[in-house]
Amino acid sequence: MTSMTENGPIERIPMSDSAQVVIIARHELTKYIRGRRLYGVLLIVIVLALLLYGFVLPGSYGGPFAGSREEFLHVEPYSYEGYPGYQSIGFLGGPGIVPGTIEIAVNGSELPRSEWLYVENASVVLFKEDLSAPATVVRALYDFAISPDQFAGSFLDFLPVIVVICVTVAGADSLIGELQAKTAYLLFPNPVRRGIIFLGKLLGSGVVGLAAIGSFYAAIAAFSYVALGSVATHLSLSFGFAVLFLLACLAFALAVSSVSKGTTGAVILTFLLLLAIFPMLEEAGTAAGVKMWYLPTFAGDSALYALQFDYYPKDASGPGMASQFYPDLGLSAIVLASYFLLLTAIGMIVFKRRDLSF
Amino acid sequence: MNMLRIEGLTKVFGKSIRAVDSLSLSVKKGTMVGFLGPNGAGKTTTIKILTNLMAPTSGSAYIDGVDISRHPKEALASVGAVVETPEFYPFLTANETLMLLGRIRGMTASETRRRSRELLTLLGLGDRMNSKVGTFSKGMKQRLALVQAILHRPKLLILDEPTSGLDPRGMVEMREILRSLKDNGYTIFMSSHLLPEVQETCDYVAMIDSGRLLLHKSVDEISAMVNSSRIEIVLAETPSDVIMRRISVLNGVSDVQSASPLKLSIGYEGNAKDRDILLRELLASGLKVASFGPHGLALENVYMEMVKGSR
Repeated sequence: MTSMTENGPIERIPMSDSAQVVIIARHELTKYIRGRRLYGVLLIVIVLALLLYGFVLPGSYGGPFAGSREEFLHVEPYSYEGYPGYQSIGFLGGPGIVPGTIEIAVNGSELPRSEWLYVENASVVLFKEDLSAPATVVRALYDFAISPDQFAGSFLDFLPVIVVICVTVAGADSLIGELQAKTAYLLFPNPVRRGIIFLGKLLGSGVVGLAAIGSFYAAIAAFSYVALGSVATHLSLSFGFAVLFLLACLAFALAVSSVSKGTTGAVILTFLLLLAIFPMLEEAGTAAGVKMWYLPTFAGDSALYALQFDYYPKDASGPGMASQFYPDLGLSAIVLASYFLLLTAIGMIVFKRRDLSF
Repeated sequence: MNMLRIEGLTKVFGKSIRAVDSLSLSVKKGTMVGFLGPNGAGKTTTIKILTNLMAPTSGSAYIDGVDISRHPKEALASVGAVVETPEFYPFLTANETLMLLGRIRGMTASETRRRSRELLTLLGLGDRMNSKVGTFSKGMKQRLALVQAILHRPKLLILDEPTSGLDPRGMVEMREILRSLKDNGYTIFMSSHLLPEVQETCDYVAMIDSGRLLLHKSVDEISAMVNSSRIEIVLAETPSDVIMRRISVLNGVSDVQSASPLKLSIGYEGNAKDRDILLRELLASGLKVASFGPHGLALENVYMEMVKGSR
């Protein structure tokens, strides 16, 4: 180190905001790649998809995804008002039932179709007679065939877990991490707006999330093609909702990160709220007959139900029956987009005003 | 023309802690200002406000005429800063770190590469430019912090304790670099605890305590302010009793202490002109003077007085 050969200061025009967003995003992505977080998330997705395909689905659906199945029904008295004239109810357990193929036999004798009713969305059979006596043996025989929608749906039950892992690993600590590690002292005293740093980090984390759910959907499509020879018709629509859900959760994680005092708190809070507290609120609401369409996790279920776009299930709620609510696709898109925009705006404002007093 | 102008800057933490209190000062272009004060005086808070890491409670700060709080991007385009102990992204190499910062600041990739290579070599990090910063020592990080601050050739350098963490050789080299930067027209605003460093390198000194500005003067003015001090004389020959008696009755001399056979310490009241007269009289009295200078630093004396007075 000797004397300087400086030529003196010069006037410099900083980069445009949009170019800076890309630079910050690339930097963020480098962090996730070199820190191996991206590989970790992708590994989780691949292992989960393989486990579902290799072990869970064959276990649930019975090896080949089509065939005939025999079931002995558990029957109990039916005393509700939903279906007047029916005395007992039997529960069918197997998935992929082809309704027109069901045959019911009581103590070895076939029961005429006029004596029973199959309720498809609840997978139950209602009987005009009371067949709940313990000595009565009720047997169902039916064909089953797993449709591409059901196949994809079995995977997508796990989508919220993947999304929450993504935003927790890449997002929840991205802002507070800069402050806690004191790298903010390096990055912030630059000609770059705080809002641009926020957006760059959102974009970088978004790419990680997109890579994860993109891989998951690609695995679903590939496995579905291999197992059934076709892919769910509305898988791309479902992917659109998954991306919206990811963006809403990411904005949520970054907003939490912008107000948090430590990385651990930010990570735990994000994980618990998205994976436990919101779903618990949903359950409680459903039990009380309240449709909580405004919760991000409820709206996020649209990614699953979008597969049933052509035969969308209807809400069931009323006295004497357990409520079942399904997200309205249009409304859910608005809810998720609103969460994304609103939480991004709030996060940016809070982050912009935050003093570095670490 | 001012490169930095601070007007009534105030930062209140909570309801009553005034870290910076109506601070006003300006820094002329091409000068180097030492920003002094004891721990907790408000130096780092001021620097954080100047680098947009904190918002002021009231008041304004302008860099090259641009309000930092209102237009941070435009204001910080002229700034290179080292704030607190520098921390870097451990997963990036020195080159990658500089590329990230250079690109954000509007440098082209080729310019950033060229400047990075030049500066890293100059600051003794040439052989580590492709090493991960996570493997760097504190001193190396401090050098890299200075490299990133001057990478884009900013008009104003804001440095918070730039020699902190450096070994003695590194400190001397850092001072050389800072002087060289000033000679090349850079404006430097630097906080430090090291008074000799400030007196040696800076043109002006701003002292604060409890967030308030105590003094803002040139180093020369501060030296001239020191009327009452001790003078240290190193001798080539042990003086006789007669000479010692002659010295003790010279004008302005309050006492003469013999620290060792070849070293005297004289209590003396007078400014720079009076000291010139004293030296002539000492030589005329037969004293063999090897060196003659103030005992301690002028800045140190003023600092101690100002800080003591403000508390």
